[in-house]
Amino acid sequence: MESRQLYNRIGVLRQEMGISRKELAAAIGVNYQTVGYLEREEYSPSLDLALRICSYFGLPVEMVFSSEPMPPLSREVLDLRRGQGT
Amino acid sequence: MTQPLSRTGRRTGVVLNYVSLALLAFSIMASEYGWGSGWPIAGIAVSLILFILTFMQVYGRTGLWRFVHLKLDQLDEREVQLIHRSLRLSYATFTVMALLYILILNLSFDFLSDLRDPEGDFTLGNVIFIVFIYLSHILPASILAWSERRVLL
Repeated sequence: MESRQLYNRIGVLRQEMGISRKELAAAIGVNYQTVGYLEREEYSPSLDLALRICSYFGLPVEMVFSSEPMPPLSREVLDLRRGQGT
Repeated sequence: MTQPLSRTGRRTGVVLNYVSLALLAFSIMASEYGWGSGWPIAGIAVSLILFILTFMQVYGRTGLWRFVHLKLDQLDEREVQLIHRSLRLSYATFTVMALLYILILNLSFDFLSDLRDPEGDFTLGNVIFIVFIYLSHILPASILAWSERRVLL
């Protein structure tokens, strides 16, 4: 069975927090190379790992993972602000 | 800091390691059964050096030997998938190799008569036995060295 491509913002979120791949890897309990694979979207995590990642960043799943290519966070924030009329 | 071997470098190393293993086994058997004079000793020396060098480069330096022998609880989910795939392919490859060896033995070539016991039955022999044990351990690491774009260091 071929699995569906998953897109994510792990790389952006990690850089925003100013932490290294090794630090993120230690926090979510994987090898630091696996973080690289996740960031390059070459590996789709299990539900358990995806939830651990979201929990670490303190964000809902839909903000970190998507089955569609994800727009930049800045674009999403702008759309949100426009939607709120601010 | 050591530079990781490129995939081409790893593939070359894997091929050279298997070629040196085959030469080493053949030289030892040639020496044991008296198939030649002098050259088997030189063959053993040269192939042994090449075998050790390629082993250290491809499986030692890259950490692949250690990686494929780690316990499951020391691996994360991606690594478990990687090990599973390499073990599955290794199992299939090892089976094909063992069956091919049995097939070659049964083709009854003249030069294989040395491998028969006094009753005329084929014996596995210590050299081939050790080669098969080595293969069963090294095949998963070889598959990862051959197929993975990046390897662990």
